[in-house]
Amino acid sequence: MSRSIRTTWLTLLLSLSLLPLLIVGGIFSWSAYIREQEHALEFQRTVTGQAVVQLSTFIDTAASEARLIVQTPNFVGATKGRQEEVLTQALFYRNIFDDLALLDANGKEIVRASRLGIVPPEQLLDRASDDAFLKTIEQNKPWYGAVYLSPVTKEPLLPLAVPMIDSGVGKPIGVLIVQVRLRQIFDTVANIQFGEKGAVEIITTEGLMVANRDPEMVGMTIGHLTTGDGVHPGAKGGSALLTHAPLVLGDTSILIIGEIPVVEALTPAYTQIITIAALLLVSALVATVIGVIAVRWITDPIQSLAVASRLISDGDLTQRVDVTVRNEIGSLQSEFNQMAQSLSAQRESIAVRNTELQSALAEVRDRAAAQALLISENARQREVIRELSIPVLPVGASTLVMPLIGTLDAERLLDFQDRALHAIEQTHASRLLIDITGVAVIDGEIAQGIVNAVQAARLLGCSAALVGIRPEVAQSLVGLGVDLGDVLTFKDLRTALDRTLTIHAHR
Amino acid sequence: MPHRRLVHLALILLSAALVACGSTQQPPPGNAPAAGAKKFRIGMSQANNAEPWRTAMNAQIAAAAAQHPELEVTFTDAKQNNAQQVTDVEQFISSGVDLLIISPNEATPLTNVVAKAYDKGIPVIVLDRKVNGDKYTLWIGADNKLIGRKAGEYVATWCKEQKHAPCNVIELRGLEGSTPALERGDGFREGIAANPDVKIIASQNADWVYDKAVPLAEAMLKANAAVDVIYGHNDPMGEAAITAAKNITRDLSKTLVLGIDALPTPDGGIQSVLKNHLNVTYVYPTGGTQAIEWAVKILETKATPPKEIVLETEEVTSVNAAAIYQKYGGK
Repeated sequence: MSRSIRTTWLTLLLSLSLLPLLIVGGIFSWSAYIREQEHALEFQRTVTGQAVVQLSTFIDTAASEARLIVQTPNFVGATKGRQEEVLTQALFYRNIFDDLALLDANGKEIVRASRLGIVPPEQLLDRASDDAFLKTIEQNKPWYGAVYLSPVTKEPLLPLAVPMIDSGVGKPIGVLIVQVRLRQIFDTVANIQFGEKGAVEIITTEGLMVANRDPEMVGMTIGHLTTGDGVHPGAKGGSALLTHAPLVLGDTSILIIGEIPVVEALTPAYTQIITIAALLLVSALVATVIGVIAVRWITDPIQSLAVASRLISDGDLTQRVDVTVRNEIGSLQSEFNQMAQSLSAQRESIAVRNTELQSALAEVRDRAAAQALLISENARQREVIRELSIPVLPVGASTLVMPLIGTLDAERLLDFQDRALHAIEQTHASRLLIDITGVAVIDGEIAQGIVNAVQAARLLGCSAALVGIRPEVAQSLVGLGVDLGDVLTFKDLRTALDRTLTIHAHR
Repeated sequence: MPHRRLVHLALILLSAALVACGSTQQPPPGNAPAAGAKKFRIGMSQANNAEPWRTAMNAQIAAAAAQHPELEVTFTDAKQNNAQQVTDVEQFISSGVDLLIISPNEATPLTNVVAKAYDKGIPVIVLDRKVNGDKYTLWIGADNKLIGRKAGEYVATWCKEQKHAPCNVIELRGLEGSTPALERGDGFREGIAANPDVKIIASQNADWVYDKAVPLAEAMLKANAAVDVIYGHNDPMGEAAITAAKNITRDLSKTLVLGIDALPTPDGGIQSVLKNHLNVTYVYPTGGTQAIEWAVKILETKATPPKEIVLETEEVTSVNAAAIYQKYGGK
């Protein structure tokens, strides 16, 4: 039974129950994963969105601070000393700028103050070819440069230029270029925490990391973070859930990235998947147990029936199966038992009959043997009788007497001829007296036979004579026309004996 | 088959009995106090052990706690990293400390975790830098703004006395965004307002750290030919300016160098004044001793402390440096 009914049914039942379970579990897990990822992304987008708002608010504030400087009453036409005072006030009392440079309409620095110090007049530069100057003069609106890290302090700085407008002319008569200190706001943004390890980081369009909770990361160039939202390699490698929110500043922009290790972000999904898997496992176990039990319930009786049938077909009629259930299989079992019962009953009766027949046969054989014995006895007796019915009586030295009694038939006649001739030969008798006194009837054939015997005896040198022909025999002989020829006849045996003896004596 | 089940059952019962016997022989669980030993566990989350002032704070806490054998103080170092300090506090919370002392690296990033500890019923003593809101038990610190103003007033007066007009000041600031940096800066500006000739001409954040301050001070001194006053938000940064001047062979003999903190340690501000490095410094008490005093009161007598304790400061000049050093137990 390489592939038994149990295996087949079990396979069928289990695949029917487990396969849908697996499919449903797989779909649930997948959808949980997708849903949780969407949840996490949604939340993370909110966080990065807030960071963007904070950041843009800060930069807007810085921009309006810069505008305020150039809009300070009488600033445009003020003395260099006064302008320097305004700039240092802005630098050292507000602490949001790192460097302030006031350029005239030709791009030459009029005054420049940085947090490092006030630049002496001989060190002032001509910045006519600076983008900051050209674009601001040209567009007559604030201009933003790319965020960079200060070579001196390593602080992230944002170049920002605002046009200085002469209220009378309405045209830009100079430009204020400021370097906005982003460190504090970047630190605030980088310290926005969501979850355990979720963090916000900021990179420039060139991939320069300018804000990160880990100070070591700041200043690194990381290109691979500029991909779409979703699961990607994080800033430090490792799988992370990333969201991206750009903050556009004029012609340039910075990218605010929310990053959380994917393991943490998708913990709810993993929990759900593990729960689903556990439920699945339990269901599968239950289904398997039930399946095995159900299949056994169905197949056990069938298998035991099969085993019993095979044993019965091998000849063991004592096999019976237990009636285990009360259904069609149960009735099959009981009918099987009945069948086995009747089979064994039939075999028993056949055996009885067989024994009877055997003994009958033996009896017949015995009888046949007895019969044969009887038959042979009979034959022997008949032989004796035959011998006795044709006696040969030697009378004297050379005379034999053979009395014939009863009915003569062809067989007896042949016997008689045989015996007579044998006796003559043995005894060398010269006279044979055939006494037919006892013969009631002689037909032509017998008469001829007797004549033949007489003639045969004569050939042997023995003269034969008929004795005691009864009248009715004589009558019939005559009637039959039998020619006795020269056969001697005598009235009775005594006469014959007398004559014979006499003859012999005369000799 | 039944035999084998019986054997199994017997084995299970036997092993269960063995386990039960074994467990009764085990020592009592570890969280029970070892007889007469530490009754209260205090977590001390330090922002940055690299700053001498904070090392001094830790030392004062340890020394004060040594007077109370029932206290067990565990120190952590966040290395000027907000995230690290949040983690440190989280670990203190989960390990179930009886009281938390924290000297925050920055206010905002640590507000939530301090509130979390406070909400869990752990008394929280905040030292030096504040946290936002009021979810803490007690704040102990000095008035940085007052100290800054005193320094500013000293500068204003000194400039007038020295007849420096303009009187150029360069400033070495603490960590940007930290309350003391802000307050020491703002107070100073209030102080110098009395003398319009006093002008800040350069200002950089050296984050309290000597090593960061040296190159910045060099750059500032190079960029500014005339410097009359160097104001360091702490003594190490003031010392750094002196080192920087030495590095670029700049004579500071006519320059006023101020610091804050005045730690009574061999390499502290008071000694610096005594060595004629710093001209002036201001005592910024760490509050370590007071923190332990209040911790004991809170834990043992269930005393309710005031929400804030503002510690006094003292001006240290060459005149009084030796005395102050003695007063604060300098070694």
